Amino acid sequence: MGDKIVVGGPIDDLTARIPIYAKNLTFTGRDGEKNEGYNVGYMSEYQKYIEGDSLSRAVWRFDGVNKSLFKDVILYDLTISAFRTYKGDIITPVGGLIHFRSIDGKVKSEDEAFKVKEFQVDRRSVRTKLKGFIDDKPADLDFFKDIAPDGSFEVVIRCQDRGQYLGMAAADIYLRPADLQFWWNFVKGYISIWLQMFIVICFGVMFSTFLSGPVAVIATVAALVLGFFGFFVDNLVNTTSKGGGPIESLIRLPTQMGSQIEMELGNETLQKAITFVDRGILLAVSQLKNAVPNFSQLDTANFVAYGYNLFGGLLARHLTIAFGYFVLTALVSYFFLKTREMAA
Amino acid sequence: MNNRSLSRRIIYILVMVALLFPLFYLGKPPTKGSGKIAELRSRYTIGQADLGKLDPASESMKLATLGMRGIAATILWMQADHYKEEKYFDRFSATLNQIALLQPHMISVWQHQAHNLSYNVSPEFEDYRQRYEWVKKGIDYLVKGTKFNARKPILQYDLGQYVGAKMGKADEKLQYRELFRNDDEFHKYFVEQGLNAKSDDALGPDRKPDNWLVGKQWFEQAYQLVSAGLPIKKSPHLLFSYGPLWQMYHGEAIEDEGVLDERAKFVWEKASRDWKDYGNRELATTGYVPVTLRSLDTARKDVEDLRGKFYQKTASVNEKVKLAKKQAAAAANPRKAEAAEKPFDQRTSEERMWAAEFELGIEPSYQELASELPRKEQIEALELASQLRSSEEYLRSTSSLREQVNYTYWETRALAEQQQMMVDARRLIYEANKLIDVADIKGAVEKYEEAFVRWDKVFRFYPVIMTEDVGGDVLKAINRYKKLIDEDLDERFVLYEFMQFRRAYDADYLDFNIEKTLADWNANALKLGSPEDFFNTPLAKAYGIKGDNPAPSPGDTQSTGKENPTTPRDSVPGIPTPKEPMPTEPVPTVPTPTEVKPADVKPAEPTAVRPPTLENPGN
Repeated sequence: MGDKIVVGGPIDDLTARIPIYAKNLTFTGRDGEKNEGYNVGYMSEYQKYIEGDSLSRAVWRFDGVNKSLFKDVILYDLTISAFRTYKGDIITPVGGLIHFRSIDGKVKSEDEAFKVKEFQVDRRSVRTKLKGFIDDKPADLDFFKDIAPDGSFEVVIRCQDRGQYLGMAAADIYLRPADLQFWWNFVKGYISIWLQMFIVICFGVMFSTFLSGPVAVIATVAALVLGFFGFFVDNLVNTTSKGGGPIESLIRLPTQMGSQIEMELGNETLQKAITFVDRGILLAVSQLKNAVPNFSQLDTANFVAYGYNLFGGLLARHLTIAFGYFVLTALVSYFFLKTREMAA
Repeated sequence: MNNRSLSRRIIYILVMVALLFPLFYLGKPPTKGSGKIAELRSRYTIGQADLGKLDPASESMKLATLGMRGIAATILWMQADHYKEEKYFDRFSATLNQIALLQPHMISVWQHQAHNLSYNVSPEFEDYRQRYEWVKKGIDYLVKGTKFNARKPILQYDLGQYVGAKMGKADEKLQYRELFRNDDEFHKYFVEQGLNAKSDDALGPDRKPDNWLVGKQWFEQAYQLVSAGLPIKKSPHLLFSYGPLWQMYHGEAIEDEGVLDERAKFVWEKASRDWKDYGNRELATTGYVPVTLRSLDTARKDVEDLRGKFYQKTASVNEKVKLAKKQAAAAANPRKAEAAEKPFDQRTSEERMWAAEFELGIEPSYQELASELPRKEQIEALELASQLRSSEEYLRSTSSLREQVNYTYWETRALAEQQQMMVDARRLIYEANKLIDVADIKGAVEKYEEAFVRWDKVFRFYPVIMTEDVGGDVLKAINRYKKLIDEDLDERFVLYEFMQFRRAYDADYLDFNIEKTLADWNANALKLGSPEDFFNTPLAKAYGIKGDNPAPSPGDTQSTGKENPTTPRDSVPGIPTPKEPMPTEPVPTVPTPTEVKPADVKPAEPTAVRPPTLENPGN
């Protein structure tokens, strides 16, 4: 009785975080020498790993951070992962140490211990007035006076547990000066989707000025498919994807010839001719693809879904693209309507 | 030209109309008579409604793909793989839900992807609570699968495995089991899905649902469906063993967690009953006759009786047939016959092989023996031979299935675990381990020693349980004990023989003659009498367990734990003395077994200084 339920602000993904990312991420190996980070055996190489209880470190370099964005506290997020070579203590997560240092390495903050929160956003902060070391001597520091006088500094992370690894990519640490309203981010996400639709309609209208109804629909769908899956044509052209062009595929399908094996027809001339024609078709489609917008790039749903601010520059770029296609398709449509009028 | 076009159109229309009739005949709905397709669907119960729940979302998705469901599903599978590789596990999970909606009746989707979630994705997470959540996601996926596929008991079977073994056997089992016990939402979810996880059957000693018992409930659902005639691709003897096994694993788990009292004994008592029921169940085999695992002794006796009768009946022709076969075989292969004639110790290794082949070859078959009898006796002998072959086949199947499920071990273990001496033995080990955690080395050593005396007794009464997990756990305890006392253990150690047995068993259990060794131990166990009498036996007294113990039955006796572990082995009746006692040990008077009467055996006085190792009080 008497207890109150206090509803807090939105958390996790129902926010619009404004991240300030590091310029780059570098690693040192267990011997202290620079390396590219360790691969623990995952197929994905997005994250690289540092070894625990050794000289292995991950160092992020931030440049030009505007100190006016932070008052007394610098907020930052971590999305570090862990890889265990042995199970160890099941209950306690793998631990790490983090400190901030100047670019020349002479000034650094005290190490702060943390436990990995894998697949979560670990919201952390450091005070601008903090304890640390200047030339290895203990000192009281001011973040933007001693460590980052020009807004440039480094963040260093080590793994504490022997034999265990911490994994990170460049975007796994970012400064978080503020969060914007989720609803506005949501609206911006919708604007992106609307822009995609707008461009498709532009193409549809353009095609309808010189093609019959059903053919215009097919042409619009083709533009849509090319806009979303055009990368696949590029992969076929530069042979990243195996299987060849349309004619080769037409032969492979009924003969149940897998895409990974070389096509064997027993007639080299025929084979060369097929490859040649296929290449021609693919190059033509590839060129055609360049004429339609890349719809995947216009997709900003992930920003909203993962709670990051869809920054204005990106939205402006998308608006510009949409406007460009509007002008182009309007001109073409105008030209065709005009010529049809003349013909009529 | 126009006329030709018109007549062609008319033909097309007529063909289309004609095709409507068979289409109508085939496709009539069942409510309006007997459409052939509807009839077939109903006969084989493969209509959408018969297969399981009808889900509007699933049907809409199937329609929306405009017949390209296969392509859409393939793309989604590829996407799911990509998301898993790149660790986008939330998207992975969402994609799996879409795949399931597209292919709701493809069982391998539910099985494969549930396994992916519970077994492959969950270990990717650092925090064991998140791992638990992903195990649950796999379970949830399977539960959804059961709704879409009401006639596929394999999903209930998988649920039994996931809820029981995944949560109860993983390295994080302590944490998982704890989380499961307190996961009220999950229990409610099970109840909503038709599994009463809050019923008494599923409650552990703390009156909260236990993962092993809930897993057992899922198996029981699968058994009900299988008993109703639905097919499952599992061998019946394995399928039906899991329910009672899960009950036993539950007993093992609560004991590991420190529930070492009447509650544990009760769990094992139930397990024993379940195992007996399982042993009495008729199990279909690859042969023609179903077998019951508990009928081994009867089957063995049947074979012996029939064999006796048959050989008695064919005794008059046995030698004659054998001789004829021997002569024929010798003529066909004189070198083998020569090898068989030689005395055994004069044969080379090759000759031994030949001799064995020769002996085997001349052994007359039942058919050969029966056909040599006078005509009027032949029919009866042939019938007998036929019965004998069937009985032998039944015996072979029963033995084979029993071995596959390790029937004897579990049967014996369920009995042993109900005995107070075993509960005490486990409790003392548990307490010793706890004392190690608080660095009470002396206390831990004492507890271990008290425990080992009891384990020795348990192994003597139930030797077969030395072979599996129980033996392994005791061996681990011995190793901890060795580290604590920092000494090697020799033949004076009470579990020395067990250690020797277990080392040989672990080193190469395929070569080690387990059957023979266990048979010897079993023979000794029979001499000890019933374990119920243990606390009144001279043996018990020799161990310092007081003879005037008010409750002699181990089933309801809580022993004091004050037994003296240093009782010399030689004071125990019926047990031979070691050849060379340790020189530092006091050599007690050795009474012969016949001289010792129960009243003569007195507990040894506690020694002021603990000897370096426990003495072996039994052989």
